[in-house]
Amino acid sequence: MSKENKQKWIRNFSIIAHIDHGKSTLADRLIEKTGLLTQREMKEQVLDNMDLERERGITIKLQTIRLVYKAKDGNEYILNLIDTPGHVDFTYEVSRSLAACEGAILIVDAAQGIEAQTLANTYLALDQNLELMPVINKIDLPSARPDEIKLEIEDVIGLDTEGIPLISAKNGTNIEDVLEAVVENIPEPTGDVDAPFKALIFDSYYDTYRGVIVDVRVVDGSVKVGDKIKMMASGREFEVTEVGFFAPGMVSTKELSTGEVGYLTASMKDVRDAKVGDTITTVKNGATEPLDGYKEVNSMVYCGIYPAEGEDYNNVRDALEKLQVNDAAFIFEPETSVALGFGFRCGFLGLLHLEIIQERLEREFDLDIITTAPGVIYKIMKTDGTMMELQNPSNLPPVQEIEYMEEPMVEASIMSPTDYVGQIMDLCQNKRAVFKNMEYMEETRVILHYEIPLNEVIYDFFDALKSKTKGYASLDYELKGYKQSKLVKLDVLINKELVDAFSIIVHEEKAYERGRMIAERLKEVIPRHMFAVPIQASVGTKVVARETVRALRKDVLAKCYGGDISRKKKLLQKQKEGKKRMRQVGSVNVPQEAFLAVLKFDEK
Amino acid sequence: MKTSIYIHIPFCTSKCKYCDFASFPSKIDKQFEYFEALKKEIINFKKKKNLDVYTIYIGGGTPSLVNPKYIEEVLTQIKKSFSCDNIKEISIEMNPNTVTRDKIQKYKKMGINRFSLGLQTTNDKFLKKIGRVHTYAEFLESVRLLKSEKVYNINVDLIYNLPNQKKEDVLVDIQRLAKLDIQHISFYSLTLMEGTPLYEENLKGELQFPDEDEEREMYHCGIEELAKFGYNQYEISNFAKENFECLHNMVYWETKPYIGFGLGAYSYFENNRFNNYDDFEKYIGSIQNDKVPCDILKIETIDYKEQVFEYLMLNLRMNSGLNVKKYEERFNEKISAGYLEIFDELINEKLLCKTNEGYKLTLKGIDLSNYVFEKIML
Repeated sequence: MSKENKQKWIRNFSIIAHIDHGKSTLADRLIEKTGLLTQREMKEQVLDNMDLERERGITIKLQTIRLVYKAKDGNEYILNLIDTPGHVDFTYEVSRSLAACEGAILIVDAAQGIEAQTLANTYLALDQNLELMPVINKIDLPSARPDEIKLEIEDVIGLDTEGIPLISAKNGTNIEDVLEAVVENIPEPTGDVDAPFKALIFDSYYDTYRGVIVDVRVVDGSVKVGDKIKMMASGREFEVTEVGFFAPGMVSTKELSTGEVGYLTASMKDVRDAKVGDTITTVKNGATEPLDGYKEVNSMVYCGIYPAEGEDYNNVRDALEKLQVNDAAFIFEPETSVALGFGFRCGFLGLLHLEIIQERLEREFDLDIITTAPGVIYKIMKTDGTMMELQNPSNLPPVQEIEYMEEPMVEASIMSPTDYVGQIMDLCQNKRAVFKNMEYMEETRVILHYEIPLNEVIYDFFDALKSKTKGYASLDYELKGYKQSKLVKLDVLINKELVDAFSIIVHEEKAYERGRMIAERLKEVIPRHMFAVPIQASVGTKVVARETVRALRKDVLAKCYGGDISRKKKLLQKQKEGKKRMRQVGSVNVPQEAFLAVLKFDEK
Repeated sequence: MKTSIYIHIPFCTSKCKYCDFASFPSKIDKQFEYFEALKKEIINFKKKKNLDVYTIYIGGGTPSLVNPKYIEEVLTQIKKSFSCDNIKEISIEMNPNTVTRDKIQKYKKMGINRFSLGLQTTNDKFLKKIGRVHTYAEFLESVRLLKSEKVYNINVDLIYNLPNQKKEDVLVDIQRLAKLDIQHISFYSLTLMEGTPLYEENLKGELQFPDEDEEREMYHCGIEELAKFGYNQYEISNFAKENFECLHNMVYWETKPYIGFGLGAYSYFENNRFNNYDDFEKYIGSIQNDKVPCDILKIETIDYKEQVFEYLMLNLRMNSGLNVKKYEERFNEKISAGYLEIFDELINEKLLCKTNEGYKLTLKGIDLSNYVFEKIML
């Protein structure tokens, strides 16, 4: 087969679906049907191979699989299935994975129909000019109503549903139809096989044995072992040591050519050497223009991570280093806190990214850690003329030394069905957002553009947005520089002692509200002591909120006869264990959960 | 080593709203089966071990509900199977509405010499609110009968911290009892146990309980009032006129051995804690199959460290407190420095105080005794 013909037999596609509509099951079936693995060899849900993903129901790490399918027309096709995550923190990664495809299977649940995430990701795919192929899944359910769903798809998204596959991924019904539809409807990849080598990096990760593995989609030309390549964003050069594809295990080949999807390794030690969205070309006679859409990823959200036990410091540091190796967006550096001792200031893409890292530290590395309130980087213009960057609120200089403060602003694009515009506007109003404009995409869909301070977005804006719009709205935001703002430091004192780990920077207007929420939340989680424990939130010397945890007056077992003794001991044991997860702040025991509890502000 | 015996009688007329004990009003027709099993359990135990019996306690449920002949058969079996030359005390629990002269006479003849009446409160309104099936008048009648049969060792149970109860109500309860020439009063704070009707009512917000401060006042004032009438506190919830402390219950707090026979009964024997099934059919079924009526996997062996902790925790429940010499005799060594340090901290916190013999809880220490025991737990 000549090089040119090869592209004809390739199909690059992704699967888009709402959570639980069957994406992973369909992927498993496709793998089964194409004969790469027998049914017995298949583990459940081959693509989602991290425990965390299973629980949260979202794919965190991207995976690509190359399937070989013998179609009804007698030809063998190479189907590259590229998996994608679906959270706003990772929109950039999703968009780069989609950029590697020509089409996307859109799974719609035969009983539930089109739902929020379906729409959000559908629009992402349309924005990338992908061919969308709807598939209706779960037709085995008694509540399945495929004809109604077909109409829904036509109305809401505007896709033709004539002859689309109606399947049950669970039972393996009509899977062949999907494969045939992919071959027929998804365009073959374009690209010039004789042009200089150009490939899109849509993912990279660090492997202990092979170094960094770079997931690539070859756009033009070809690459083979020994080629000297260049990363166009950084200009760094490497020599290719291996190329191949995923089946799903790694299988090395001689070369990767135009239209193909696979991996390459080139003795890279750090994922930052292979940045998502970057273009790879050859050193000699390379391409002159990089591919569109590359963005430098920046940390937007910061927090402190401290070992619960001081002696674990080194273990925490080692774990953070290991996580960083495979996470280009995660950064950290050492810092200290009066309340918590020695720890680290860590930077993330967003709140979800933060939570994932936190869970991985606790689960994979089995560490007991305390996380402080997440915040953003503020700029402080001091009276002496110098400008400083503030990541840790405790480092705020005294008020007299501050000329003014600036906070990072983002431009937020909120996409939503028109029904929810009212709720969205209410929500944004409470977040100091400034309305810029609104555009209609179709009759039923709008995009609202707001300028919002980043620190209003990072806490729970996304969750509140989803809950107010029944999950239909989607959010995208970009840093748009700094703006001067009346900001203050909100401190928390427990039993009259300042607990620096709770300090946050807030807008003057929000101080009372936040202070009250924190004080109330702490009152709920701090246990009763032998003495009354006052909790105060203050700005400077002014107390803006106050709560008291009453002193313990009664903690006694009235009856203690034969049967009560074992039960009593168990209870005392449990209480004792509970105390272990406490942090001593002066003479007050504060549960570790308290540090995180104050972050979850309920949107009422 | 002298061992005490507990017998459980799991039958009641109806379940009180706060009760989470093993009692089944609906199974009263299975009495005969139950007592056959109970006797067999005793016989089977004897085959493995003889006991030198110190005290016997017949509790429930409502032991006075069943035909006294059943009680007699059980006691007879015990006397047949074990060494019972020197039993110091045999107690039985009774409900005021099931007390008859005939039963009292029969109980006395069996050797029962301590009678416990579950009154809870002298206020009929409160009695109804918590689901008791008797009235204060019926209680008075029971006491009259007991006295007329020359019973000299009577205990009455009182519960305070009832819904809508005030401190004055509690004092009235004590004052009324003081007039009746009874020897022992158990004075309990009502504790809502999950799954009981009163607990559920409280969840729904249908009940108004005294707040924490009022509840503690009831307890503190109760202690004083009881003392006024000669009832000396000897344990957190137990008060007695001189020399009328309940010997059987002290066995629990002195960590001395006891065997429990019957449904759900607990034992502490040869450093093991274990209990019988609390499922009616399972209990009877296992004995019928000549098996021990308990889950062997759940037997808890109390190691040395645990024994020390239990000794401290349980002895401190008593006003006599921790006797250092007795501790040293029991464990063959001095109290560890670690514990002494904790005791000092507790003394600083005014929860513990020194006595001539060792240590005891202060009143505040009693109020916060769980905190004290948690601290002692290493």
